[in-house]
Amino acid sequence: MKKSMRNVGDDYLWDQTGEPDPEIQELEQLLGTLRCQPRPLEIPAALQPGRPRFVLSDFKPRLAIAATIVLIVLGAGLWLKLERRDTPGVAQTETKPSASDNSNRAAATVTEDVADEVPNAEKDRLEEPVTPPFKHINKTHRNRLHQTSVAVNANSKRTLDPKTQELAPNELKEAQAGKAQLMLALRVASAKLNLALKKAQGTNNGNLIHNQHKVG
Amino acid sequence: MKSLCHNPVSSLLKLAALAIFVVLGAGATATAQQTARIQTSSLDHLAVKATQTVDVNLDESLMQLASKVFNSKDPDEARAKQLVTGLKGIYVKIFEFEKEGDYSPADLESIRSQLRGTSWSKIVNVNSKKEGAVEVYLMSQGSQVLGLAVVAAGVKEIVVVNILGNIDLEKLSDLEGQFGIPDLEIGKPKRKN
Repeated sequence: MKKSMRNVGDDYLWDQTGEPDPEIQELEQLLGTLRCQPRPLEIPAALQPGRPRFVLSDFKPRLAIAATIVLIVLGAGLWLKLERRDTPGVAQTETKPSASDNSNRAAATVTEDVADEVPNAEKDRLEEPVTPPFKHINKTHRNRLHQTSVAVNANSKRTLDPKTQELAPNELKEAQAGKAQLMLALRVASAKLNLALKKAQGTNNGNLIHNQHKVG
Repeated sequence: MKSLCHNPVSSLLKLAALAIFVVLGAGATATAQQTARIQTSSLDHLAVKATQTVDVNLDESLMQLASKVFNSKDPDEARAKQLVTGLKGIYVKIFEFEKEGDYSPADLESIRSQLRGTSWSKIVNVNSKKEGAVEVYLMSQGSQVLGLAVVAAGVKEIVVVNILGNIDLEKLSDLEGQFGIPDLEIGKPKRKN
């Protein structure tokens, strides 16, 4: 080996010039299978541009956050609903208008002297059409103000809104009583407003006619 | 946004000023609603003499509750519901007396004194020997109505109506004759039989 190396020279060993050495060539062939073989980059088909990608994976964190929020909201809603269903007494006591509380909550009080059986004409006209809610007028002694009258709405048998069906029975009763009171208030306000307008218009018309007569 | 990044202090001051402005505006509106409320407790002593007393106190929460039982398919109820939607409260007090002179005009002075302020303006004032006096007051801010007050002093009757909120007078006037409300045919030409 040493002999051949000496004879052949070192050129082929270092830069493959000169006469080739068969031993070195043999070694080259043996080790050549292990040498680096450059090849083009192979991109997986799933990641190649132009092909539809699996979009969901990009939004996974956002989806997780949104799902968490939805779950929290649903859970809170369910909890509130169960809580409300479990404690109806609390809602009743909060919403029920007491007889003594006359400040802010509704209190429609209608007291009437028992001896007074002949109301005036306007009172008759006003009271006639709204019979069922106001038939429950408390006939009590004088000075007994602020007794809440239990008003029953005649229209309650009609078809009600879906919102109405959501109300608890006690709330529904209170709402119907409130509606009756509301209608009474609107009725009175409307009647008095119209009376004032009628009188005002009548006065103006009278003056107009009077003035026209003077001018003519 | 750029200025917010450049000068955060001035931006914060601007935001604070805006917040104060909003709070003050809301407070002013709330105060106006409060002042539209008339105190009628001074009339309570008349209940002793009255043969009939009607007292309706409806605040906003109860009106909202009551509006839930309105049937929206019924046009009349829908109209009434629409009328009530913008309201903050309705308060009515009626005293009916057996005979004339059971109350004195001075009894209503406490009510009228509250309505003499600059915020109220008397839009209708009617005096009739037969039906007494009717006064209609309106509190408004710009084009928005904040409250309505009607004081009717009849021969044997006192009526005080106080409505808080943006009330539509035309719609309120039209309500008469609907919804179980009798049409008194006020302001309408009489039919010839």
